[in-house]
Amino acid sequence: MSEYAIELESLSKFYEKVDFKKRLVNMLLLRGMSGEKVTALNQASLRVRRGEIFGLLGPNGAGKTTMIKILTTILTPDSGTVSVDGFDVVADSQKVRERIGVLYEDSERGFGWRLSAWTNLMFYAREYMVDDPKKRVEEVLKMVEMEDDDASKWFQKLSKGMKQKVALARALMPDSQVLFLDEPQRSLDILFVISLKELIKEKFGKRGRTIFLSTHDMHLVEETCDRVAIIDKGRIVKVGTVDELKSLFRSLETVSYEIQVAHDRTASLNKLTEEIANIEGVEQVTLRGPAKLEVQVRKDRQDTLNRILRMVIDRGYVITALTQSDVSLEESIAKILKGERT
Amino acid sequence: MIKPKRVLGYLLMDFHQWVSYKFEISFWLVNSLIGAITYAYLGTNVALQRQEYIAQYGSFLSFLLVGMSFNYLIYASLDAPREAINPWNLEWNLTLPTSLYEVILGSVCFRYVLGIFEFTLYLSIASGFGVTYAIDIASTILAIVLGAAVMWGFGMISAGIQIITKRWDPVTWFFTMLGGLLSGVWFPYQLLPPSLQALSKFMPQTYILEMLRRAMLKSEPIPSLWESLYPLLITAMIILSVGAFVYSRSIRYAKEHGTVGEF
Repeated sequence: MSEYAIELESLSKFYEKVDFKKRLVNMLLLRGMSGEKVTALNQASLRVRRGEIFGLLGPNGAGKTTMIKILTTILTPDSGTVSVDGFDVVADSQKVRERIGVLYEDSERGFGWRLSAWTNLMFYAREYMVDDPKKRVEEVLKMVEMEDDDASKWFQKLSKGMKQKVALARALMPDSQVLFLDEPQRSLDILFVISLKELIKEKFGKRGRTIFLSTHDMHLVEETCDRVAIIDKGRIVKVGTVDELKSLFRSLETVSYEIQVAHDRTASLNKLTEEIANIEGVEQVTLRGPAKLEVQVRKDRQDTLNRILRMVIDRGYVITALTQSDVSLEESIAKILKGERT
Repeated sequence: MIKPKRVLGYLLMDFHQWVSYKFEISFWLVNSLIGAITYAYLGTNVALQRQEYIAQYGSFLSFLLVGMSFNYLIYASLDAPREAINPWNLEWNLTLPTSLYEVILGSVCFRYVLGIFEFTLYLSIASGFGVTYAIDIASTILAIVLGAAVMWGFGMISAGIQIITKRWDPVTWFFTMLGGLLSGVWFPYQLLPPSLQALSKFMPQTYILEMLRRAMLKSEPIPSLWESLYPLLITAMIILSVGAFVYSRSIRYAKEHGTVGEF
């Protein structure tokens, strides 16, 4: 058995820009694709280890959803090879579908809107051939923290967040080897997003299951993913741990601090900023809000931070917080996408 | 291998969807009752009763009843594949480990349950109007199975076209609009002008209905139905193969072009 749960090798996918008539003629004449094409995936290669929580990040239209649809067998690649849990997504698509759970971005599809969440999930329990459908439905509803009252409501009467929970419950239904989650945090309230992170890491990730997560939520990625791939214009531009991606943009010469002061003296922060900039060892000072400064200090001048803090206190400010700031994942990705240091 | 549990899943899902429309159920029940009484009344009173071709089947009502069974039981096979490819559900049906054939079989089940209920209602009310039946069970089942197989084939062709076109479906139109007129659902096709009668002979429903009427009203055993049976058998094999080819090719096309979930 391969050590990888998901393997993509030179995967390409193009969409043809054709109208309805051309599409019909192509079908009747058993023709392949022709005409103008849009690139969705371009020679993308990727390997996800078994038991890994893997994040896929990229701007809108980068190819994330296309990749998930190919991995879940509802879209066929134009070239390259793709396997999930050791099975080819085209030649062994049935075997792949028996081994995956899926949450698509448009997660409300496939549900009967005039049926309760419970009845909808019972249907999926039967289709996934679970041993005890009722017990499994209870389990997945508990995992997504859905009360009995909500589970008995018609799907159409549920809020967006509740609908997302039902869709997540459906994805968890088969207790699959590989779970695909496309924007799982969408419409969820903040409390359940915290639970979702725990669900991904503790209840699923720690049981050796592989999770392939596509999202725009950097916090979700930072807190759950073992590794991350950045995709842009159909190409995988970087793969690494969150820390590896951030470290690409950490300075070797300087360190940054954020200084938060009490709000009553914010009017004169501009003057203070100018004064701090003149301290020896300070590379850059930036106002980050009405009461926050970010100061970049040279690492070889250890007394610089003391001098800065003394100046802030001497000018009558009350320091309410001091933190060493790191490059955010968001900034790193933005820089990777802009082509800086890659 | 078709798994009964998955087929049952679709049957129960359709049943739950159906019972959620409470007003529609009441309307459907009333409609069925009124329909059954109307046809029973018409069947026992109209001048068609004396028509020579109908006389061999006992009465016009008996003749009509078989047309009903055809509509309720066999047309479900034409509709089911189209319902299964509803774009709202197709993406999910293709993501599940459920095979396409399980999806189609599962989708037709509830239609058959309703059809059998409605047909039984018609039979019961008609017997109250004095209709008697002479049913050969084996021939009846064979006629229904063959008829369903042919319609299933056409249903898959129709669904395949709809996967590509997303709306236009000439197959269902042809069978629902012209089938009723030409194949003898409501009256004998022998009453049509000769040019239209020639068209009737190209429609498989004509042979299905002929077989059904002889099996249900004249209790004819399978060997005596052979001249209607073998063209149907050949048609069923051809249409089912063509249907399966068109359907699977259309799904493949949609997967290649990324149009599975498009409306």
